[in-house]
Amino acid sequence: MALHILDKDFLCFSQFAMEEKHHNPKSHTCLRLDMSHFWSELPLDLLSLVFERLSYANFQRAKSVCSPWYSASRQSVPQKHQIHWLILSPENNNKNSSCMLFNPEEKDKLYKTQDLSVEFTKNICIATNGSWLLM
Amino acid sequence: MSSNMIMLKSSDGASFEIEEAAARKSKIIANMIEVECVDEDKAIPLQNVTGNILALVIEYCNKHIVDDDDDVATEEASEEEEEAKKKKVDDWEAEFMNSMSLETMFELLLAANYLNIKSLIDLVCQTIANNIKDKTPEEVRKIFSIENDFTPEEEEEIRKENAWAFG
Repeated sequence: MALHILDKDFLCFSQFAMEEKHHNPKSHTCLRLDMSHFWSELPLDLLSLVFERLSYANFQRAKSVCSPWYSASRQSVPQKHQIHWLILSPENNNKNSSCMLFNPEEKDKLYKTQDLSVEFTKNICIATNGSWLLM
Repeated sequence: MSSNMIMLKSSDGASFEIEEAAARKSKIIANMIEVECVDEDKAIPLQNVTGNILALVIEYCNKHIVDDDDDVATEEASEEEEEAKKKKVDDWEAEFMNSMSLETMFELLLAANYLNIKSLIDLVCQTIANNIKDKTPEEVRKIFSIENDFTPEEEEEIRKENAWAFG
């Protein structure tokens, strides 16, 4: 029996190494209006307020818009109290070990996790607590 | 000028008369009133806000001061009335935000931040978030005229970390 972390924590644990490398000194300029790229220079604290209003998937996509937004995402937490996602294990005859994720708030979307190894997908979840799964 | 009116002066020299109660929506102006004892005919200069943006801020404050008065008067209003009133404010706010370009929205957010008007900051941030929602990074860049300043390698790496989000 193994203890696995579900969805969000599980999917983002590898991001930190990458984020450390990235720093944009420009992102703190205030009240400077250069029309060509002013949205990327929105003060960090305000950008964080915007990011905090995004769902988790929207937050992840917004990060890759430009480097100041990426820096701002480091100090923001996406919207809390979201509906739990469904996690679907691959079918038995499938060699792929990725799970599908379904967010009830985005009806037409199905997300695919990275390869979680066959051991993970063969296990059965017996209990959940917060973002943890007991397998 | 009557005693409960004050004058706000924009960075480009425009003057606006506003009820003190409405102006107090801004924590900065409220502090100025308390500390500096603004003279009746003396205007408060706002160095960082242009006239067209200040006009919007004042429109917002005037609208919300009326709402706050309503709250006091109808403290025992029924749930339905409360809901109807909230919907009226929501509708007004939606129309208010709809009427402006993203450029204006950007300046309004900076002004609300400078003047410290929490509810206006929240409103603008929510509207911006709604514009980002359910869009690809390319679409977001186009809407907000943001230049992609990542190297192809960096972008690839970020995308790979969150490949699932782009599925």
